[in-house]
Amino acid sequence: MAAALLLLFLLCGCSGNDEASSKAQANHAAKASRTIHLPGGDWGLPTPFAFYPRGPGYIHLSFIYDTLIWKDEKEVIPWLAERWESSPDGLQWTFYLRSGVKWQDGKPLTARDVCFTFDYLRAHPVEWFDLQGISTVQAVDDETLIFRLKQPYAPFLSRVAGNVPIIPEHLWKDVADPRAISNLGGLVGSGPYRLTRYDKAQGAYAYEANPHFFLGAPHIKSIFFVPVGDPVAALERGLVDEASIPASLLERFHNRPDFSVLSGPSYWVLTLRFNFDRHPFSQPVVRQALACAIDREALIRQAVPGGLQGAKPGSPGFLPPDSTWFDAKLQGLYPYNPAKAKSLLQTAGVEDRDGDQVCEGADGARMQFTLLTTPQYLREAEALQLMLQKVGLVLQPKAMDVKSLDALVREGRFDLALTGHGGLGADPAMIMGFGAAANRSQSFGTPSLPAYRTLAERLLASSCRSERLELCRSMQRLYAEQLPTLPLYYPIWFSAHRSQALGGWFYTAQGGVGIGIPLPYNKLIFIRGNEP
Amino acid sequence: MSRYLRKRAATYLLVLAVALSLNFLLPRAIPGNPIEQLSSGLGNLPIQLDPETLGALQSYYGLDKPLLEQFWSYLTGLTRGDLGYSISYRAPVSGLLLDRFPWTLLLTLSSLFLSFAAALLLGSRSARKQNGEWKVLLPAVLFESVPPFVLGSLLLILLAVKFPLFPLSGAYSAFAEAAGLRGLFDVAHHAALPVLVLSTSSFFSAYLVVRSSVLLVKNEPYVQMAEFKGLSEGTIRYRYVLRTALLPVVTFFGLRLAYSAGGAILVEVVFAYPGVGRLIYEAVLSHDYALLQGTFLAFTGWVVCINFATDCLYLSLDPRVKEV
Amino acid sequence: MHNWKHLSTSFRRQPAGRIGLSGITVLTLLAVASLIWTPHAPEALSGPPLTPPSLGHPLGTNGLGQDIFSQLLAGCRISLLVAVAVSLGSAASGLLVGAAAGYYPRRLGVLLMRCVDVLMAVPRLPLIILLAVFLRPHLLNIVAVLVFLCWPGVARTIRAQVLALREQDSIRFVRFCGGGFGYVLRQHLVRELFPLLLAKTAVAASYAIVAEAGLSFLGLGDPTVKSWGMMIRSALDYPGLLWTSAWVWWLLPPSAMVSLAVFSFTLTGYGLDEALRREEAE
Repeated sequence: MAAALLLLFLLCGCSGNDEASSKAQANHAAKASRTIHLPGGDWGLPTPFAFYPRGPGYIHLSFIYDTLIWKDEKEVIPWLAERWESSPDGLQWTFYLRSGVKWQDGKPLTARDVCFTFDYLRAHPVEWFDLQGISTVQAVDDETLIFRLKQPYAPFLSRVAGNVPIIPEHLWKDVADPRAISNLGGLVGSGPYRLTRYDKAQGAYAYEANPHFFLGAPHIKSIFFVPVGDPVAALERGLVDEASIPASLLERFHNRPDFSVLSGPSYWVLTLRFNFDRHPFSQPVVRQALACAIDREALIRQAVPGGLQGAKPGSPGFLPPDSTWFDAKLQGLYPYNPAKAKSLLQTAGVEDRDGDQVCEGADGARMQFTLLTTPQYLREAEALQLMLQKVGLVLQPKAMDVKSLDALVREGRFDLALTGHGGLGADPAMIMGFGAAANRSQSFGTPSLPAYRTLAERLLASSCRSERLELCRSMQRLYAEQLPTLPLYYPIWFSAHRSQALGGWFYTAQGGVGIGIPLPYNKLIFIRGNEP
Repeated sequence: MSRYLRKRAATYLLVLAVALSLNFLLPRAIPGNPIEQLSSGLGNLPIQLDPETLGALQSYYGLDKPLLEQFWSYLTGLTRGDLGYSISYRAPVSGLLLDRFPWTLLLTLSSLFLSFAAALLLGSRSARKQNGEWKVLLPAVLFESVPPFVLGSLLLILLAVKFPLFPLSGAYSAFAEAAGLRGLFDVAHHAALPVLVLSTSSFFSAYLVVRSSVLLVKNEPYVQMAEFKGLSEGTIRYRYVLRTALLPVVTFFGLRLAYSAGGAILVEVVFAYPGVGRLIYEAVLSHDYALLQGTFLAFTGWVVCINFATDCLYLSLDPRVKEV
Repeated sequence: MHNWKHLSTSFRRQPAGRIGLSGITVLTLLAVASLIWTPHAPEALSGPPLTPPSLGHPLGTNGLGQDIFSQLLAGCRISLLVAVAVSLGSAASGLLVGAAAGYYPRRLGVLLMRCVDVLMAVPRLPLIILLAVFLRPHLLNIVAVLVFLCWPGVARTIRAQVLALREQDSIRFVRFCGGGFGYVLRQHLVRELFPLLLAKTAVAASYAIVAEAGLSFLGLGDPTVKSWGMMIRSALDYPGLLWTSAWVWWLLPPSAMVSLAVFSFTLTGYGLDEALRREEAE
């Protein structure tokens, strides 16, 4: 009976080998048949009401539905709208739609569909779409529509026009509960692909190209998102044609002719967060001193896998160098200088008076603090501990789980904390002006100066690009002077793909796909195919 | 129904009631709003909810009604089979459970059959000799001591990543379009490693139970009579010994079946197998209360049903058991 | 009444008992040794990350640069602590409840046994997961949850035994003389029940080690204590670990140690069970 078990095992193993070899054959044929396999995962049924508002959920939505404008690797490009203009006061936006666009079921797409989409989304709100600034949407004729806003809203293009998917009025107008739609037949959009199969349990999607797409039939005929356990293993085995790889594995893929590696910004930052209510961090001088005491490049070399290839040093102005709003002059504002850090601390009354290598504050209290972190960033915490020890500050790293750390930070029961934030590719009025704009809840610190708040409000309202750039630069400068948090580094993402399967991969400009998803799955890649 | 069964049924109903209340109250005892927690957190795009959207979403999910009313609507929903709506999966919980339940069933039933078949074969054979059982026992205990997720991870690394003999994840090849025999082989291929890991964890105890009950039966007079009659080894073992010794084994099987679904959680997570165990893990990660409630209830319901079925079976198999 | 000498000889004569006990001894020695000395402090970043085994680091360093061998020894401490705490806790509560249920079999016993039945019918791992989500992931909470799950099993066995013991002549005489429950428990029952309790708690200890490792693997364990389960979790979390050779010396040693610990406790429990069974058969 042991032999029988062994035989069964071997049988299973052998049938698996067939599968692996057939996958390799499928990949050789991929170039000819123009299909592509990508790592999957369950991100929800791609309707505007059922997609998961995290990870690549929106990417799937973008394959089926179109937005008014879109982005490629360089800039904003016309999509459903051929051209657009805004009124001088910023309260009115007019969009001129492309003519001849059809839904995937053959009916024509008109401005009335766009108006219906916005009205329907306001009746059935979804967290991802920010529509509260819109007063009315009106279709002038079949191809022209006008948005009227309640107040001037500069991020309108990126957060609304480039984000909201247009849904067909003739299919959705009678649907009372849009969240209950679960069949694939109702997923009709104007986009380049149709969803043919969706396996929720395993996280697999199958898309077929829409031959009547308004830019022409897409080059890639079928896209399959298949579930993978380990993306690198799946890439090696030929189960997928592209996967994101960690920076530590770059050497593995670098000198191989069948793979190409692409790098792109993650628009994510690891920051050192100060508790303003704790002495001495309430004084900006002390925070600046810490910025001088921390060698960000050395931190990356010590703590980040892949070293300086894996992350970029943090800029005190908060925005990453990859952002188009980045102020390059701020990068060198706090060069590594422990002596300067010590002298800055002295001006705040913090110095070592009793010669024990540990500073005391103005009131004589020992400068000893806890640094909260998740276990993932323990290396960074230890490196910070060593660096700050040189200027006489004792740091005690304390690891805890994410939820407890968030809770402690929110309640203000911490000295220093290592936290991270994503989405830095979004409009700077949302990122830099976060706390000031629209009274939303703060999730990362912003300077509490009234001047900053005024700048943020102006940034939100202004629509002139050069003015906005100037405002953003001023905000970054204020941020760099106040340093509510000290950005430590911005990780870099890498994606490896098979060179034969598809070329022309890119990371979308200006923050990523849609409102800022930094993944290389822009539908343009699959529409264009190998042409650059 | 006998008094014994009625008493057991009462106990199980009590279990269900406790589980229901625990299920319901525990998530709501924690401060924080599940909707806000959905898209916040490190690394995600910061989606900010303005008060109107938050209010609309809350009323859609019924989170703004008073606690007792929520509990009552939860209970009435249960009778209709409505287990709530999963916010993180954007789908009704009952649908999610029904989708994944067959896969967990496949894993647990296959592994239990495998381990019990092996235990029956080896246990009845080794009961003949008092010593020398260590040749089987020691490796069995060793394998059972290795925690299932450790064994699973190691097997996955060796047999799926390093040497691509087995698939990396899933229950079947996505879009394979294989039907009939090829489809069956595909499913078996994906289930091979998880089933192997699960069966090692129950083999030892099954073996012990079989062996002890066989030993008990072996000394009965009618078995010795069969030996005197000169019947073959196999006939004695299977026709005389095993049939009577099967009773405690059957109840033990029922017991393991009841608790095996919970034990499959770790294995499903390691192999990314789309079963109910993995669902409860995902629910934990995303703090999806409705899903957590639903899956926990499903597990408890499963345990209660199987236990009750085992009790009925025990009663019918062994009429000596009337009162306990 | 037990013949203690006979029992212990019978236990030691079995291979199960011998191997199990020696395993536990080795682990205890390692844990005690780790309190006194480890090659490096387990939490300290004592070297570059993912270095292979060398003289300074017998098992190399992990992704953060901490010495794996020192962490392994420290993990001994944690696992044994969890095992001992859970077995003590479940033994104490199981003994108390089971003895009370057996001693007063009519009303109190029925009530207690009904509670035990309910608790035993709840699926274990899902309950642990549910509780771990809503309680802070502190080691104390984990131990409390595990004790809560293990004591019903102990209580049930103890009750069965006490029911039988209660009718023994010696005990009846003590009751006749006016000895109350507490007195009988302290002076007579504990001695009788001790081997059985030991056997059951060995099983509880092995379950506690597996459960704690499983919880850490799922990411629900205490992230501040470097238990073996946490080491396995952080090894599997490290991106691209399988494609370096580091997984051999980072992932395998804690897995082996967990298995060894569970193996020792299970064998000890099995050995005790066998010794008791042999004694009863005589």
